[in-house]
Amino acid sequence: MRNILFLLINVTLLTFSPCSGQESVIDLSPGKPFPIIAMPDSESGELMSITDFRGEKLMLQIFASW
Amino acid sequence: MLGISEEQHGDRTRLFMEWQQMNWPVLIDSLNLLEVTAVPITLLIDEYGVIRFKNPNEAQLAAFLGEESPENPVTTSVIWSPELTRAIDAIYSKSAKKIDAAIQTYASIPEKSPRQWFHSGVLYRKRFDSPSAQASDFSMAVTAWGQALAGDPRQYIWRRRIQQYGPRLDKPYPFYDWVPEARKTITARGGVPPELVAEPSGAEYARPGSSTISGRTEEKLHPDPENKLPDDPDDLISVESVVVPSTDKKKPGYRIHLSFSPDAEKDAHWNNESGPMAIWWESAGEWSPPKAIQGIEVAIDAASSSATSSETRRIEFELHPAAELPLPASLKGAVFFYVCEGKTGTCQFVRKSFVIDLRPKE
Repeated sequence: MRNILFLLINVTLLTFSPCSGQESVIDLSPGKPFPIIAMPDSESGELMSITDFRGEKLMLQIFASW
Repeated sequence: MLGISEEQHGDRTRLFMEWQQMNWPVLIDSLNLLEVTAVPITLLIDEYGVIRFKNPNEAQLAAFLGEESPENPVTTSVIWSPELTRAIDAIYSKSAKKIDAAIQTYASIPEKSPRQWFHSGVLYRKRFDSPSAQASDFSMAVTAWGQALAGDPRQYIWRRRIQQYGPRLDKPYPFYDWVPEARKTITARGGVPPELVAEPSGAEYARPGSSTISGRTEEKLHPDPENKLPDDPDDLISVESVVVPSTDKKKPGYRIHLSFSPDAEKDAHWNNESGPMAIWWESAGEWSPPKAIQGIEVAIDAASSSATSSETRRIEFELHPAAELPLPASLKGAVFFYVCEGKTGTCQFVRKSFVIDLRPKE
């Protein structure tokens, strides 16, 4: 049992360890979920993501002021 | 409506929003986490967070607004690498210690991917724009971005990050020439323009074109033709240079940013009453310095109108190779100025020699 527990812990660590995980691939194609990425609001600095707008239809503009 | 801005300087986005009276949330993605390679991009996202259309036409917009979205409660948690997690935390927290640590983390990666180079550049520039700036930060940022772009030339967001500080010939448009107009308009409306952490530099206002410096054309006299002046013997002034190359190999050239800082520990300060500060360049082989930059004067900040001051002084100019005559690998120059040491120290007219390396940095 102890051996099985040890194995389970190691498997878990390997699965969730940031050193072993592959970085997500960002895909902004239609049909894909918009990635949940926290970014600071330009006015308040508060971190927000797409989850803060769930329940609303959104027009999202990715732009730059230049 | 929601906006996401792909800029290094998020505070400028805020000024832009205020000017344009954009009253919806705009988030700042200075690390280009969305990995977009160009802007603008418009996405229509349904109530469940699913992208329905990209750069929609009118019919698609009407369909999106009119139709009910299929129920699709998905979540996509993004996994970042450890170093990127650190970089994100550092930038969002604005902690000097965290930014230092994140920079060190990236510096320790032996073979960086283009994205890692880009993130490294963002961190260096963030620190440059903070009170914890180190002298080489701007230069390191430009070098890092250059490495990033060399690894992924289709990345126009990364290209713009270099071009905004680079030579006019490489600019697709003036990047931040709207800033004075924005401030004027906001003030006229009775508002207060948001303050900027980092004021746009000359390069960031500059219009695309061939013109570099419009200087005086009359002959200037070299202040020390026989090299008799002491070469800053007490090391009162430090000189930093940042060379931003053109990203277009068909339009070679550089935008050179120079800064001159009095040594605070020695209480060095400029003497503003005795004469201008000017830079003179040496010829190198067949190359001679253009008249426009020979004897170029470093402007004194209008805010430093007192007899002495100790601000960092900056100047930018461009160099482009003439037909069949390449630029030298390095520029040797000397800046001439009046400087005083300590409150009761004597003031002297000195030269400070320096060399700018124009070779691409690895």
